[in-house]
Amino acid sequence: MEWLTTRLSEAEVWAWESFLSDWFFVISLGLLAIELVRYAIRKRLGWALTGDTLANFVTLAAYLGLSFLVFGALYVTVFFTAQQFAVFEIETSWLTIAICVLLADLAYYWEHRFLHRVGLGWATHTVHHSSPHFNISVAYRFGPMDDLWPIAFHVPLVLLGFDPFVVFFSELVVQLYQTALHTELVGKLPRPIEAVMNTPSHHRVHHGSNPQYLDKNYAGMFIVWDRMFGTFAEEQEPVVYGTVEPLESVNPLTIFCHGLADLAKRVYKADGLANKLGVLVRPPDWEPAP
Amino acid sequence: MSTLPLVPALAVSAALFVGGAWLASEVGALALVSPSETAAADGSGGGLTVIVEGLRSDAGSLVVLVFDDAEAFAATDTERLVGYLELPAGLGPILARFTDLVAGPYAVTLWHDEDSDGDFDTEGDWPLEGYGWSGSAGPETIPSFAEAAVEPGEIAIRIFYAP
Repeated sequence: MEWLTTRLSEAEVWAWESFLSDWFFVISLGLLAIELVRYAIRKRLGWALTGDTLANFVTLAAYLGLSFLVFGALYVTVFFTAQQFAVFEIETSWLTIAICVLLADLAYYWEHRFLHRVGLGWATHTVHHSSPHFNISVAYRFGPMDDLWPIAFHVPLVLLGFDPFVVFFSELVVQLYQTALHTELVGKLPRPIEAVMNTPSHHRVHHGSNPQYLDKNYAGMFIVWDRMFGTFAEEQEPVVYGTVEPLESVNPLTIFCHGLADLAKRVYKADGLANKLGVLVRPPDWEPAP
Repeated sequence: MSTLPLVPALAVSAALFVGGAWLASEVGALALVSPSETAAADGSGGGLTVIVEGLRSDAGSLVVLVFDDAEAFAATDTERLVGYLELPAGLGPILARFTDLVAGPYAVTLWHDEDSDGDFDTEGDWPLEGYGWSGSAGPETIPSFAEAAVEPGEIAIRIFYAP
């Protein structure tokens, strides 16, 4: 078990990060191919689904472009500045990385809950939820600020003393686990797994617009956070995917920008500063006071 | 299961964050005093560590050669090596640690001996197996010793394959 506590360098952690994300993407494309064949067999593979899938990858490109041009530099600046103020001195080993992944999963829960329950978060995250389908390409459907909010929710880990590279890596692990859940290929897993882990079934619920499924199952890897904090729902009736007000577009530009555009419209229409601020920080279903 | 309202849930989460980070700092300290901790791992004054990325398969082995002499490097003279490691190939990053190489500069040559025949296979001038050097030279130019020179510490090398 010596490997668990052997010290790792930043370069090694970074090398593992690139290795994981690259190969995961390749495997995802393979899974998508299987899902598309399944859609074809069930005669669901029409233009709407094809267009939606292609649009998902266009939003991925736009997201990566923004990360490269803007958020990447912000990420690095914020994390390495925060590192100067670290509280604990934490060595990097697979054991401390495992602890960081657990905490990053908790951070993800709160970030995700924020994305759903605060106007500024929903403006970007609604993009991911606006697909009326559920396959692995939806996991790569990103909004314009999807790389901004994680900075705020994970910088505490750097402030506590985890190496920025370890925090990046942990975020990736949670993200990749979650990506794999975007599928209808898997039904329900054995009960002990469904009790503790986030699963495709739990995450289908999260993507439902059925009233009892709204704002449920925010978890990344462990569903226990939702069970503890009162945001859990079991998959019972069939899930109707998408948002309460369907977007009904496969235009990538419309998809990518509609959340921000809607938010801007609502801010513009709200009367008075308090109402305008309310639209930004309150839940997306909040109505400004007359 | 009873569930927590927002504010207590946030408080519990904050406590888990601080407790988890404290635990990590404690087990990190264990790692510091464990015998597995070698001088090489910290990269400073503890020898040369080469991290190799980009192997296309886990077949055969990765051969890493270290020179401290320009002529020996240019001729890949295996009689005058200062470091040699043959490691099992793998798709993830591979680490070659030379703990006794503490006084640079060094130049590193490596290749992926995919068929385990002990030779770097070529067809005329065309390389058939993966290869790489220290320094930032691209795949087309063989770097000079000065261009490939590195000091002890940690370096990363990406392996190239001719298309």
